[in-house]
Amino acid sequence: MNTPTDTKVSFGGKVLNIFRTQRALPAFVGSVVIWLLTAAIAGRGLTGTLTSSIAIGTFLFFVGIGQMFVITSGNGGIDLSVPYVMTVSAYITASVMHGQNSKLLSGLLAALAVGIVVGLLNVFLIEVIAMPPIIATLSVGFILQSVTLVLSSKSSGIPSPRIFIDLATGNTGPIPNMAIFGIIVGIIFTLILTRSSYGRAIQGIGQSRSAARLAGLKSQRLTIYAYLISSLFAAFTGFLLAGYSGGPSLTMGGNYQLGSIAVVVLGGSLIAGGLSNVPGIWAAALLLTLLITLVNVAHLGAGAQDIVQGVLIVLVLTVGGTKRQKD
Amino acid sequence: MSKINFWDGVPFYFLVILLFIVIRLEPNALSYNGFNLLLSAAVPLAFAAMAQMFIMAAGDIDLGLGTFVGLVNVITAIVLIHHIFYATLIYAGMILAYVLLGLLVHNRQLPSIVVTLGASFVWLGIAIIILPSPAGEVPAYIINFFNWSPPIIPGPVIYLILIGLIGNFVLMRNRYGAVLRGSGSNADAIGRAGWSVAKTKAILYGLAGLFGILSGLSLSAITTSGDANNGASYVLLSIMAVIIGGGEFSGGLVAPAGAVAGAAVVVLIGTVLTFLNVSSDYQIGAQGLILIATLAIRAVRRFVTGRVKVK
Amino acid sequence: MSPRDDSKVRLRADNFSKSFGATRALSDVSIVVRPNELVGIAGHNGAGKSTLLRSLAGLTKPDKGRMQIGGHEIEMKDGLTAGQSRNFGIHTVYQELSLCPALRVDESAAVVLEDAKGIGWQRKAWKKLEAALNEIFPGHGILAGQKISDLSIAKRQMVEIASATLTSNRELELLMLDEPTSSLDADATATLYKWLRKRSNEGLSAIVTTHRLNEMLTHLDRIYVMRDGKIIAEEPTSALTREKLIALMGGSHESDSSTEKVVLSKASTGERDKVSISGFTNNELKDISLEAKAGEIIGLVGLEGHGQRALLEAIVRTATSRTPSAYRAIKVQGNIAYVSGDRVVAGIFKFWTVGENISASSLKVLSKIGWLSRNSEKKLVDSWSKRLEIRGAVTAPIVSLSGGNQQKALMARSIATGADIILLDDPTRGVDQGTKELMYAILKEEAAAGRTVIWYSTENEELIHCDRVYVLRAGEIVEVLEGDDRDEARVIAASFGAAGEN
Repeated sequence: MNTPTDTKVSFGGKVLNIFRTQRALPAFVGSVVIWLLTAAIAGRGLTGTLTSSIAIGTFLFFVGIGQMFVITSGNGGIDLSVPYVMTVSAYITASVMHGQNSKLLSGLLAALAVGIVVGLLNVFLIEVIAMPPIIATLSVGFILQSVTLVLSSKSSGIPSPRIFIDLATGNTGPIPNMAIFGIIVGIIFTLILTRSSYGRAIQGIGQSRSAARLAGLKSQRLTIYAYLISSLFAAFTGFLLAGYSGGPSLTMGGNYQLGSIAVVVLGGSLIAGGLSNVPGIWAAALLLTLLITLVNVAHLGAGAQDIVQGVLIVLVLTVGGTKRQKD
Repeated sequence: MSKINFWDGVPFYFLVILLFIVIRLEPNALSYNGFNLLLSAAVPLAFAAMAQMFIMAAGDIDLGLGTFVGLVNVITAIVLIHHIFYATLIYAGMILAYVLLGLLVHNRQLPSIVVTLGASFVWLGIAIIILPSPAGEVPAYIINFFNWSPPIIPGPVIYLILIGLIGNFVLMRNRYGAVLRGSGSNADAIGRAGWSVAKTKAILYGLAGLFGILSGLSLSAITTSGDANNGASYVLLSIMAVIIGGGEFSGGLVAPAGAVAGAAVVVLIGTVLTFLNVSSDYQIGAQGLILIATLAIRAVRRFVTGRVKVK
Repeated sequence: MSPRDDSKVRLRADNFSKSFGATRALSDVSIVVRPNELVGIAGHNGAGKSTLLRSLAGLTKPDKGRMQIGGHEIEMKDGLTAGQSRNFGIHTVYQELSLCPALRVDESAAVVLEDAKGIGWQRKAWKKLEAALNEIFPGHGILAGQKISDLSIAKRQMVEIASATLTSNRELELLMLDEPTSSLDADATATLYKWLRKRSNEGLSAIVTTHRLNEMLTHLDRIYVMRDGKIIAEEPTSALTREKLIALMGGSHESDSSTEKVVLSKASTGERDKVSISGFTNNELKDISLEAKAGEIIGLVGLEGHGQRALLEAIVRTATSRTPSAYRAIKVQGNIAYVSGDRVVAGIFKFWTVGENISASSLKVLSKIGWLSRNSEKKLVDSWSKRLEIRGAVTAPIVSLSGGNQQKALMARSIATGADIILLDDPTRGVDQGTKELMYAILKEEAAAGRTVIWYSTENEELIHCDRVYVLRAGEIVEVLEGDDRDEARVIAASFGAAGEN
């Protein structure tokens, strides 16, 4: 006979299944509530608020997807370099494109290059130097900040190519292009997470690194891809955001550091990793964007927005997470 | 018999080397006023480094320290000058908030990264609501207190030594300090020995809050006015100071005296860069590089001495 | 030495019972410890020794039982905390170290000593700890300022033991030591027992559990023998010999002729070894040589924690390593699948369904250009779920299944990969008999189909299903059993080593 251990059979088995599939629900409900509140206070523009918020929220959504992959991989995975990558990418692509429509593709490629370089750098520090992800990505971010400052002083105020601005801010029919683009990307990545072997595997290593190792999953490689995805999304979003806003700016990254983590958590993904979903991130991005509008409409000032975001995150973590099992 | 070995002195070696460099670049620095100027900025950072150190001793990390210090600065510049009583109440409330954060993190097994990141936005939000744009006036007694400088030994030096001594006393010279560090190192063992682990977390976080307040107050003495964004850089800088001072991310392994030296090192690095006419644009990147370098050296050393890091 | 008096008892434990799910860890266990007595508890794997000690120390709550110590009577099912146990004067040295790596030796002592406070607390604590260390382990060479993390395992064990003997204001009534000498050298072991005897003469009681039979016979007064959660014997050591102890625990050097003759159904068709190890040594294993051909079922047995898992790990590392020869002494031909017995920590993906758990190792095979084929997955999962008779829908969360069914899912996961070599790490841990039988049948089928199975088991009855059994002791192979020799008695005997050893 062997020395036994307590094998707890969870009662919430059936509940777990529902729980898993509906973890995105609170974010959707929250968005609706805030939307209605906003419309009620503003007194008008119900659909307008919604579509523009979806459009603007797409940027947050994108960096949220990237952050989600990193968080899902578990092991304390987090990417704090996101806002810095966004900004440096915006500046680099702006100077590559130099405002010319013909150079749009070069700009895109430059953004992808930035994403790959930063992603590999993050991974190197975390896996080879064994730095904790928080410190590694934060340090990289600060280095990027310097790079940005130098770049911005050399190339100030380069506007984005005209065609880019038109595309990003334009509408197809009544719906903003960004909203459509966001939903398409969202669908693609929902499928990647739920139906690809990578999506399955990354959620596996997030649940238990040791189980994953013994099951033959290659944790290191999967983690590398996760950080690459995050940096690519950050770089691409910075590129995109510059197009949307007409050009890069030093403060564009501002809300995206906490924001990218917030949408992951509020969207129902577990901060410890292993259980994630994409639609929730979309809804959470919408929720946070609507929140900004609500705060403005209610004349509450910028500080209120920060407070609400911060409190929301702590609340959701406290109430929502599965209690970490004592092993 | 305390055993101090070669490696414990590393932050101090760095400090001496940097001072040497600074003096080479600017001979006038080797003077009473010189040291005063060089090290006055290190005092608020040393307080912040202590705060971060207490959290790291618990095995956690505090990403909200920067905006917390900023909030203290705002309160000091706006409230303190008019209502000492209320301001003190607010400071006490902020310390209490940290205690509650610590209990929350411990009780619900939450990751401190995200909780403190969330808290950082709450502090920032409150600060911005109170003071949307820089203004206010720090009371003269605060300015005078932290800028006090007796003859012969510059004030900042005395303050730094004091901070180091206090930190050292609380965590190293004190029996409960060993319990505190132990709770970050092997909480189960501490629990089995009969101590309340929840209490240790509450105290560590409470101490962090207290030193965060002190950091904000001393920073206010330098800035003399309020700005919600003051102290924003203290998160990374305080982590750097603790790491350079010999602290590690695995709980319980911290060195208070080293962290204070680390704070001075961090400040002096900035000074050296300035003297070398390195644009301030590069400073923040340099800080990131130095943090990476410190940890990389440590990784190499671990690899060489064969101790494997458990992931 | 005061005469043995039955009415004078320091600790009495009555009718302790504890079940973990389907496993009966303790079955109506009653023991008595008197003053001036050193009592030993002997038993093979899973006999219940650790559970008993943990119950007395307040770390595990028995389902029922009563404890009497120092005039107090405690109903175990009401719960006993570690602190309370300590308050009763029970100090325990655990098998897992309970020291804080970040602290210094003197600080570590201060944490457990109530009166080491105020000015000079480190000195006070160190003085007491040093005195204890000097008394128990003269010549220890441990310094006050050393960090626990810098100490060798042996020195940590010494600190742990010495710390356990420290008291502030309460008397040390009963010292419980769980495998105290496993990391100590011969000198330290000798001085430890010398000290124990001295203290017992002065009144201390102690319980020692260890696999080192000679130590027990030489130094202790009385031994309880446990088996399958019950006390099956209690004798003074003067009435015991090594052979008798082993026999009581179920061991024998002679093979039981009534064992079934299981025909070796492996066709040794001159096939190459699938796994061949020759003279492998690392920090846990010594000079291991082993071979396993296609179609063979190899068993690794012996006392828990004597290198079996380390051996499996070494094989896994060799097979999955990207560098061509991670270990020159180990050669692996083919791919590997691993079935873990530690489901919670190293096995299941707790947020997933049964089906997702089963397919976890087969993702590559089930995907085309990265896209997971739902159909293929469903086919794979359904067929394996059926074959292993898993009770529970494949769409059910894995945590809703019983331990046995979870284990079946883990097994399905590994076998579904079609790997040539299957490694099993004590997979029948906490699993019901019916499930075990099914697992044995499946393993036999797979072996008959040409797979190689290497199986670490702590349940000696299982070795009847193996073609060849390697008994490990302290990281070395001490016996290889085949044919008629494959019986539990031989294993138990071999587990404890040769007569001259500890």
